Amino acid sequence: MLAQIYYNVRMMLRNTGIVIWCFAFPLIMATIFMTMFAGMQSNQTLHTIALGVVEDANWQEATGLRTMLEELTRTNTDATEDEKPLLALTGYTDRAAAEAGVLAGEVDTALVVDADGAARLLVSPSDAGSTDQGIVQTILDRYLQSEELAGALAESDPTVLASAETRATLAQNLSGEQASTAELSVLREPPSELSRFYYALLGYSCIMCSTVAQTLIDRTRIAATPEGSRRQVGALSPARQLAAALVASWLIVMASMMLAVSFFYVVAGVSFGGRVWLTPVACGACALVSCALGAFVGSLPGVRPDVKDGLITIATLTLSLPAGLFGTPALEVANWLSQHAPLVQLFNPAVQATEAMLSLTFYDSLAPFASACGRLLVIAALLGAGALIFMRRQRYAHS
Amino acid sequence: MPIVRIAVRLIAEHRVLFVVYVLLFSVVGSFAAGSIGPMSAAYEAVRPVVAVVDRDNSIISRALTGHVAATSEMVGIADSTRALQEAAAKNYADYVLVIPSGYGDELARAARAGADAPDLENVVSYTSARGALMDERVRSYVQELYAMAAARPSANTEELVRLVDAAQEAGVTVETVDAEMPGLPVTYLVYCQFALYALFGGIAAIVGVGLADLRAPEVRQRIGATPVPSTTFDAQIAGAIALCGIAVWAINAAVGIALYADELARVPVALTALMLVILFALMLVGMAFGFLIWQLGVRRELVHAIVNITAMIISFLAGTWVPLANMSAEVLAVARFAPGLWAVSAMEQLVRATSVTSELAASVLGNVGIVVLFALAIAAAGIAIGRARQAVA
Repeated sequence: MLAQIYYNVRMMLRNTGIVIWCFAFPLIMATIFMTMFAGMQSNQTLHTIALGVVEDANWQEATGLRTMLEELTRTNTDATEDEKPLLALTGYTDRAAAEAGVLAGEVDTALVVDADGAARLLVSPSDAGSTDQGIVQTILDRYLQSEELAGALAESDPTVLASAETRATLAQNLSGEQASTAELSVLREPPSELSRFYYALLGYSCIMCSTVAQTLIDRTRIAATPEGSRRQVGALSPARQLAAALVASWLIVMASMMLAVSFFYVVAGVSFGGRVWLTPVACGACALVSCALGAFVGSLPGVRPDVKDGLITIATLTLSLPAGLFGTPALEVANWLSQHAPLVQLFNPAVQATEAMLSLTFYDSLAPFASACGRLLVIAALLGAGALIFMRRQRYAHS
Repeated sequence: MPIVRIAVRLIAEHRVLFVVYVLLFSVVGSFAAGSIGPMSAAYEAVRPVVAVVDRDNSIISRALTGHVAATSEMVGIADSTRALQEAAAKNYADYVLVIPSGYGDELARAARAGADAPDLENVVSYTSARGALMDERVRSYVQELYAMAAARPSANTEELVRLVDAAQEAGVTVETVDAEMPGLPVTYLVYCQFALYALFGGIAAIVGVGLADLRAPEVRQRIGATPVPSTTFDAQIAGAIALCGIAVWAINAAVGIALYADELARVPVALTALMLVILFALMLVGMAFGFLIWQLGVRRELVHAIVNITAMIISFLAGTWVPLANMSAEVLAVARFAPGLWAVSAMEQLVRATSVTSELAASVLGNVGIVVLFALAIAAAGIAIGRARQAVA
């Protein structure tokens, strides 16, 4: 049987398709992720917003507003090197020029100050409601509300703002930062969209590699392939041949996933939350799912081998999508499903593989990791049971 | 023409590939576009997804929660470490605000004493600036409360909240600039960006797998013995590839127009037509790539691998998966040497377009020209390889 396992492994490793899809592809994708996202990590900090300004007489008169905005175009003196200013102002001579600039997408939004000092923001209809416009709006709102509050205060109780000193204190307080926020760190390490892509890639591997088990098992079964029929008349019992095929495919899938994990860990710098030693557990469970899925697809009665290949490809694409492999929109679909249709996600091995790695990296407790691995085992058991039922039925049909 | 007929029949036998590569990827594209949500031309301040965990439950904390709710889409998150962790790891909300217990009293006390108020706690999403925007809104509101509490030490909390809430009415007016005409909807743009995969990878996969039989030695020998010159043979294969490409383009375009018929009806037909021209140019690149794959004589089982990996890289470099704005300068420099960037930037011009002008058409067609040049370059490589192989044989 050991010899069978050995030759099964050798046979698979000589299959160019399998080597490309199960071993090279995750590494190629990881490399793409690495280069593509190299500049993306700083996305959470604000970037510079292009704000157009109509620099007419009204703008020159709005001293307070102008000073406040100009202040925001400068970086803090104590800022770190990569910190960028919040705003960059672009001057326009009149409103028509500003409108043209907004429509052409030169600036995110443009500011016009009316003759009575009222501020207006101009936005383009194709881009109305962007986050950057929201930020500019919030800054201007805050400035206008401060004026409003000072006015309301003076109206309700003139004594409060009687002295210049109290007025200065109020102005300082309104623009100050005494009431602020602090970022909580609830996770073991800061989250990044990137790590989810890497983990989704493991989910992909798990399903794509089921083609290994499918091919190997088909080669042990009578009438499924010519090799299968030949082997069935050999000395080794069918059960042991099946076992050898399963062990060989488990080993290959495990090797593929561990190769990917070590590439992520060593080259891509994915830390796995410092628990990389636990990744083989998850990979082992994933490899079991992979074998069971391969056995299941392989055992489907009356399906041609090339259709089985197609089925595995379709399964890989459709199951990896809700795990978040194909970019940010896929991640949103994944989140939506997790929140609204958790059952669908529960039985998706690609999702559970991603979930296991995510829990390992980010959560303090290992319980979510253990339950994700448990769910993987349940999925493997269900698929294995299905495969067994189909294989038995076929055997009866042939006897 | 008999070879064209045979080739077309061979391709038609691989209908499954059309379903997988063209229909499936078209649907994935519309799925991705659907996540953006409907667009409206009127300005509406962006409403980030926010969760508030109120451990204080004071007048101030309730007022703050109310203010946050007015400017965001609220989702519920349980007040447990596990729930907060899951929300942060999976990015359920752009911004999670945790109001510590006793915050309201502390804020008022600090303001009266002129000291710093205790910090509110937050979890800001790492994906966009929306969390930062919400943080700006929250800090702005509590700072106003702080300033009022400092200015009116004797006033009770309800009064302070009333003052600040009344001031929220004040704000800058936002006007949408009147455009002569609306540009193409963004949802359709996303759909067309995803079409890149079907047009580039789909055609090559269908051609590579479908026509593999024509490369079988027995078939080649038999065709070689017929009075068909090899140039005619190649030309007929190219013709079959062209038919296949046009079929893929037509399916993808028809699905797109059917899915976005309502939105597109409001847009000048010329914009949609220009978009179809861009897609057609991308299809030419896919056709050229398919021809290259055919000339290289890639083995059937390797076709999918090569095609998918190349298509992924090409669509990545086109900004289909991650916006180009988020990529580093080095990657952008590389992206210039791939057709996707040019096609997608032409598509974006159509979305930003406010009127159909000859400059717009010229600029879009200029980009289309660059894409076509990519197609020509790849096709030329295919022809060169074919010639080199013939010389060796």
